[in-house]
Amino acid sequence: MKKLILILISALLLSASPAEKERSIYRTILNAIFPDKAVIHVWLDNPKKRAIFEKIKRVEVVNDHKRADILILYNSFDVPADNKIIFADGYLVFEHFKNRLVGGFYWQKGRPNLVFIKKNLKDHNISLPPTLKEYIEDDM
Amino acid sequence: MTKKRISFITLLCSATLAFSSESMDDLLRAFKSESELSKITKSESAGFLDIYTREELEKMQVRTLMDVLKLFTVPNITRTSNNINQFTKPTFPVMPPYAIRLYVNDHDMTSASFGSALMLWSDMPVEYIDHIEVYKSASSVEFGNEPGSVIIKLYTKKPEREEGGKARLAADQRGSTEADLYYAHTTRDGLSYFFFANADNVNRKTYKNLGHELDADNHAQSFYANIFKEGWRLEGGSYRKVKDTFLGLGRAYTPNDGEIDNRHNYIQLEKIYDNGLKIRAGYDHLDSYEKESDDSKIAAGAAGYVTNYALQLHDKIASLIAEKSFTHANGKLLVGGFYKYKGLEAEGEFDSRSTSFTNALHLYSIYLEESYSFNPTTTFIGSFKGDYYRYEKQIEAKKEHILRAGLIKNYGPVQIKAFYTKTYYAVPFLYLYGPDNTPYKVNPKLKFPEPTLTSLGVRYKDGRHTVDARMSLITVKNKVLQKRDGTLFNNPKGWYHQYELKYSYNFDARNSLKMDLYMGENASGLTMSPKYGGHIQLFNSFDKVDLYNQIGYRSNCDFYGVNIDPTYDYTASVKYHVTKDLSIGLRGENIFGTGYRQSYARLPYSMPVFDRKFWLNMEYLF
Repeated sequence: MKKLILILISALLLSASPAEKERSIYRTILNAIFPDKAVIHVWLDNPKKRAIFEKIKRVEVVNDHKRADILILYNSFDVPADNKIIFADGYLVFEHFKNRLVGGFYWQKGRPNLVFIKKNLKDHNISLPPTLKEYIEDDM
Repeated sequence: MTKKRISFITLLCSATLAFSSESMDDLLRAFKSESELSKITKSESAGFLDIYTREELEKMQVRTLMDVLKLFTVPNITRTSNNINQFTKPTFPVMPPYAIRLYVNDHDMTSASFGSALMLWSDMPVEYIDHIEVYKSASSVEFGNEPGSVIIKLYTKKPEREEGGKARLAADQRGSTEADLYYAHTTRDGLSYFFFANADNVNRKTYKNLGHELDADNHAQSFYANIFKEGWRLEGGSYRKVKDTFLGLGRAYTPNDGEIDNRHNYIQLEKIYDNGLKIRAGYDHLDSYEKESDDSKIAAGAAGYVTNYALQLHDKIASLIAEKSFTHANGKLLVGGFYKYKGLEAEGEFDSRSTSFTNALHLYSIYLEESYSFNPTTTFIGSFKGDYYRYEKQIEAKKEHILRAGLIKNYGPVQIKAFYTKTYYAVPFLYLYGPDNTPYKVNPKLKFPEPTLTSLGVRYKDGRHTVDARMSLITVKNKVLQKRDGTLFNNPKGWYHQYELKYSYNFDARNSLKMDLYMGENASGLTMSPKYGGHIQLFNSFDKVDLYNQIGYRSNCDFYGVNIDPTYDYTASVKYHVTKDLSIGLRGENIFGTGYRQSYARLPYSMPVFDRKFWLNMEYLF
């Protein structure tokens, strides 16, 4: 019986789904952008993604974007002009805000892409860990 | 006890560490793999399923659907004497083309003349295809539409995942060339579109028979586009292929000339409502022109044996389909129906004799399928489809039906699938109607063949290993056969058994192995096509290089008195990613020239089905 439980737990831990992998990717991204924050307040414009972020440790999804540390945008092209950190969750948003956002995670050319923009990271005094340096682009 | 606890905690920690220590590159690759569209579109309840994923197709550097059809276990692809691709089941000669159905997305690539348009589309370009699903021991109930026991479903690339385009150029050592281009975009208001264009000119090895050249060159153009917004999808495609007729249809295979010119245009509008209702309307237009000239004479039904043979077929097909899924606490109920109009115009010139006729079929169908889960590990599938065929001329109306019952049971890593399917295949017009009995000696009284399939499959999946064992026992009532004088008749009963064993192993996210073995036997005891066969496929990636190796084996057979020794096809490809967006590749097909062969009536030797080819290609994503 215990052997079976062991196998099941291992299978659960090692099993994967797109949502679990996406959660791991965003966990890494948010931890890299906010390494020292006890709680990261995230505002999303895509309610379907809420479940992915709610299960990330240290992350709290907020309904009011004014309380947010970071706005994760999928299809919003008109957001307040304050100096919030913006991260794109879709290609069109990435293209629209690329002069302002710190990065994006989106599908393009048949593959998932992760990109950070050097100048915008600098504007927000964000220094990414060495493991993510290869995803930083000088100029888009 | 303490020791066991420690080992439990150690396992838990190591698994957690393994999970958390993935690099971003690994995570992105795993996310891509887990997001494969095939994981969304596949239907385990529809039969035994084989999937060719996008990543596999890219590593294989496939150009056309034929590169995938070559890997089929049951049935095997081959080519007829007049250079048309058809299938054989192990030990059987050529299968009826209407038993195998091809779909692009949800569109049935049908034909009034031949029943299935696979004969034209078998060599279609697949650069715009995301992945391929093959359902065996299936019925068509789950997919609506016309009946078949092997369903090949192709799914096009999704605009929202492409957002950009790709250009591909390819050339081989015989001077063949090919160009592919696609582009996709999604606008801010949610409208997405995708288009694809292809042109190729393929040179094949020329053989000689009794001093006559046997050419099989071909050239083709194709186009596909779709537009999607708010549940509406409009899509259409066009494919034209012109090819030489190889040995041709002559009695001694001494062609003076021969060409087949096929084209198929289709358009389909689909609306998927939030409540699960789907409505599809489609229109297909096919033109087929075959001309042959052979002094050894070509059989043309009542026109006798002729030197010059020309046949033109024009198919017009309109369809309207509605279906709805009702989800309930223990599963779902699918209810659907369709109406299809299939019109045929035929014109023929056979030396001094000519023929011209038209006919049309009105096909009405209703179907329902219940998937009922008794518990999380046990699902029952029950299907019924009733079809009513009404012809405009001479052929009697027919009522046919499909019944199917299935059970899927999971025991931990083991999955058992059992299906019982009582189905039928619709005999196409050209065998049923032709007032001059030219070019076929038709038989309007032909009954539709009625196969009954009893299938059992066991899958064992544990970690990186997957093993599939499948068997199908098939009895066929009213199989359509041809007498020596060309008259078509129904054979009362026959049987057939087939067995498949498959194994796959994932070394890691970028490296995997697939193997399969198959065999079949039929009631006659004759071995008219290979009885045994198998493949080994090895997918590897190292840094910027993708490698692919494939070995195919088919056992010996004896057909028309010609013995064909066992054949081996070794195909391999290598791709170098110069940048993320630019790659160059080389694909060698039938590298040792020892690949599959086919024999033909009255020809004292066998002929290769595929050439030895080396394709160089360059791909650029933009």
